[in-house]
Amino acid sequence: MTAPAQTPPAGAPPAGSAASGAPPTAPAATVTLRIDGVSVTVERGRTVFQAAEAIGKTPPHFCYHRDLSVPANCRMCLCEITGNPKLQTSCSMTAADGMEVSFESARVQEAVAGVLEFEFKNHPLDCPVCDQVGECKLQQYYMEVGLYESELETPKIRKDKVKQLGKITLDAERCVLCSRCVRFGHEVTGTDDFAIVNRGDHAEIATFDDRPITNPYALNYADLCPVGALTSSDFRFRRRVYYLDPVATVCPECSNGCSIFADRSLRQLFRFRPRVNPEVNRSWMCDEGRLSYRTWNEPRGRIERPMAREDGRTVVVTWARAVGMLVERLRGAGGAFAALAHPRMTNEDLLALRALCDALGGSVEFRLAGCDRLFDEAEDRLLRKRDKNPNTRGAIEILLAGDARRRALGNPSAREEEPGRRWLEALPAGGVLIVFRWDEEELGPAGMAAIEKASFVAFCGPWEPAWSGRCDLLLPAARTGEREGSFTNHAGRVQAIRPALRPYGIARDPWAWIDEVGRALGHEIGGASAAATFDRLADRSEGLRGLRFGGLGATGLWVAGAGGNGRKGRAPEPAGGGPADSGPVARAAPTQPAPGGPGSPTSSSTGGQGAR
Amino acid sequence: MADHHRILLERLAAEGSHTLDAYERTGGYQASRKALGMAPDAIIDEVKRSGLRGRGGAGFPTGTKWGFIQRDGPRPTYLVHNADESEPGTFKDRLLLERDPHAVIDGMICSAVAIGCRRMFTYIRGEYAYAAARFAAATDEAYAKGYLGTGIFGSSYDLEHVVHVGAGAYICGEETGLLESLEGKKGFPRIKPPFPAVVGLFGSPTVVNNTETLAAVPWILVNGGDAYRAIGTERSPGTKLFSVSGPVRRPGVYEVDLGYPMSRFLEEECGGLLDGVTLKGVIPGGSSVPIMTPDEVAKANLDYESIRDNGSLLGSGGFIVCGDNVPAAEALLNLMRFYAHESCGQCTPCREGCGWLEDVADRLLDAAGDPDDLHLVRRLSENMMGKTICALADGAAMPALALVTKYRAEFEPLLAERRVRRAPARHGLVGIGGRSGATAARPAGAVA
Repeated sequence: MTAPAQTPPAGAPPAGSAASGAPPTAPAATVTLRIDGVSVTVERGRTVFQAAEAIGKTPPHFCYHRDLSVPANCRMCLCEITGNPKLQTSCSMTAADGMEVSFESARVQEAVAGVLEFEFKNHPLDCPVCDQVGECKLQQYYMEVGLYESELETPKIRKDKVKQLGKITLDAERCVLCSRCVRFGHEVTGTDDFAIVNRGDHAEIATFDDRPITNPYALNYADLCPVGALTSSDFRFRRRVYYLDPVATVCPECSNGCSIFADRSLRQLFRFRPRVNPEVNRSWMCDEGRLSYRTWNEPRGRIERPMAREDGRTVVVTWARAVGMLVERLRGAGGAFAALAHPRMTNEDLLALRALCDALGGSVEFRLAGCDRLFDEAEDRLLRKRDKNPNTRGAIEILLAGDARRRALGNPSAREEEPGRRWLEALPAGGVLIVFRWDEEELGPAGMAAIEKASFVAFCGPWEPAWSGRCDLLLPAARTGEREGSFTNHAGRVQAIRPALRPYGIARDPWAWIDEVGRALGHEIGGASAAATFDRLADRSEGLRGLRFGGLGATGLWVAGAGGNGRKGRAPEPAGGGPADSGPVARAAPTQPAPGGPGSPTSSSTGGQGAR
Repeated sequence: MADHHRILLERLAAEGSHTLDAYERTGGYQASRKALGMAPDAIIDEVKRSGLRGRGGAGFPTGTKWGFIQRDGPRPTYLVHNADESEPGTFKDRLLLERDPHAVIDGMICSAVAIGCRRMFTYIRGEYAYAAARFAAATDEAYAKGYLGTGIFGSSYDLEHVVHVGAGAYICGEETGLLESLEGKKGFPRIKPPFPAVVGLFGSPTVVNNTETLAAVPWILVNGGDAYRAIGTERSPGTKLFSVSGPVRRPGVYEVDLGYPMSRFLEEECGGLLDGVTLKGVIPGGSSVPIMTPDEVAKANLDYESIRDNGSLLGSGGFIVCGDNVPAAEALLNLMRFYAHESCGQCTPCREGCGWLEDVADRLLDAAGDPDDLHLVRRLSENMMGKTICALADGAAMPALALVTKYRAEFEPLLAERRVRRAPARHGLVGIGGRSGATAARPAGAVA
């Protein structure tokens, strides 16, 4: 083939890879370039694309993804660089000092519109029946940089539509061949689910022999796909995305605590999507967590309002009455008070509970053998953790101190087993016992024996336990999706959760009634909100000392001494204004080095948010 | 007929020219022996001095390319011999592979020594079964003689040679597409930089050279770079093979001193056009270069600069002569069908643009073109050129643009009245649907 000579500049280092041989003098850590007249300074090694993004001018793109390698094949992010005769793809061009870049010149604009026109050559115009509408990059860019009159008068190439690949539904006609799915399967999960088959405009993505995708991260394909080629078989046609209201929160289904958007509408949840958090989950989440949104909509088994046993009968009571009963009992119990906390409680609940126990001289524990039931084998090196509780680390940081804390951090199995059993056995008879969330099966014989011994047993949780017949007081708790608060993930990242739904019935946050109980007994416990409670009590925990709720922002903070990959004492991310994935990128660094380099907002949120 | 230098085709006439014995009788493998006694940089300097330029199409200076290689780095270096000669109209390498394979291997050894390569690869296109067999047999002969393998020519230099046959994809002749294919992947060209000289085969510094380039190296090492430079023109030194096809009396492969007048070449070497055929144009460098009109042919010489100044590119030397019996629209469809079929599909402008150009050429040939179609071809071509990872899109767009520009008068009668007026849509999407509802009429799976 005849190629215009492409001259490699002598000794030019390869872009994107470490130059062989360290330079004798370390170059400055940043470079400064001008993009359409705006001066921008970014870390050395960042691309022109990332620099443009840092000043809020994200170039149009299909193939670029912040957590994948850069193939530069969609040709949408073209830019003009002074001194370079050809237009360059900004995603593959390393930013250099003094570069003069233009995205807004007429030449670039025409070229990008031209590339977009090609994208539409064989793209079916089935937007009215396409589920990607509202978060489709093709639609978005047509409105932003296209808006030409079509000169296309030839038939389009037909490919397979609505091909079921398990959790993913494939429409090969809509595909723009950006290869994000191919790269995700190769680089992130290592499962190589998709490949591009055939050549030219007959190229399409396919799984081998049309086999369904079984990998536990398959639904990320639906997020990754910038168009309607790969959609979630679960979410398809359930709701137009522009009716969805995304809430930035955290997935509570395992101790990894992936940052997510909970997309709600009509007072129910329609889906979870990963939210970019370089310190926790980058741009991904597992299918197990993602599909757990269904349980958030489920009212079965919930406790709607406080209930008490009076004269052998169970009666509904007001919160004031319920708190009053508990206060009365605690006052009469002297120091004979114990609480069995649960690793699904938020930091605020645990802080308030510990403060109450400290004030009343009671004891608190959260480690039970029954906890094993909550653990399963589904763990891998990417995101999923064996510990399915979102706040085990928070419980360790808050309820344990000194050697006990150190031992628990260093020996995960000890925190599940023996201490809890010994604690149960040592409980004195005739005291007040408050149990959070634990059900009979998990409590086991030792737990049930402790309950039998207590003179007054209160239960607090979202769901009615099987042993509720033995409760003296039943207090409904708001569940994760209904409340504000924070979780600390396995690695010590403290992240804020936000309510996506209203509490079921008149369920409340446990920290709120704990605070009321404390005040009735003459002790200051927490504050009027989760944030105030956190801020007031955080310093009592070794790990949370110095952290403030307002500082958690969108992506959270590390507990003292923690930090992914041993980056201790790392400066926290600035308090997030808005979702993590629309923040500037120049400072973001991935937890695990992604082949394509870190840097940009993920595509998944732009459509849904921008459309509203 | 001019007395051209015979550097590449000298030995081909002899019986059994493909054997090692025949090659050695004419002084073969002296270059390799000489190279083994030279410092690598001295070999590179000699080739730089010769001014030899890559004969695969791009014309990049060979010695300079070798000079980019970091020999003492942490990774091995590789030489890849690109024998994936797939450019339509080009069949010069095939002749060398079939009739003088040892000259190529000789050149490869010189190149390998210059860049410190211990394992070199040959990538032959799948359709060249005979050439591949000949070349593999020549490699076996060289191994048997100790010219390849452990301690070549009795020296301490080990050099392995792997002959790999491709599966027949045009894009695998693009050097980085070839590297991907050689690594066992789909032949998707890579982004440059990094260039193969820095990150090439298996991530190592790699030189990719064309067959003809490598075949010229032994002569340069034996006779000296200055002797080679004395042939041809100042900026296009040496000789070049041209594979001539079309309605001429003597089609075939010719070795020509660069700078030779094109019209004279056409008349004398090629014997002029067949009776009754007049010249419509010449595609001088394989199908990817713009066609030249008879006027341009009359002014041009066969060298990189002169052809460039006369509206085309020297390219691979696939010299396609077009007579007046070939309608320009047919040529356009023939070419665009090829590129639409061979585009790898990686970059958007090429993947969709080549197919679109084919569609337009198709209706032009049916005399059913839209009044705007010539403008459309121009616009699509311009949107394709320089917008992709490799040069395939340019290779499709340049000839399309040249055909509709230089032979516009021939296309104009093919433009039909617009049959259905598009709705005056502000946003073009409203008007899409094609003439007479053609979109809906195609069955699923039909090829546009």
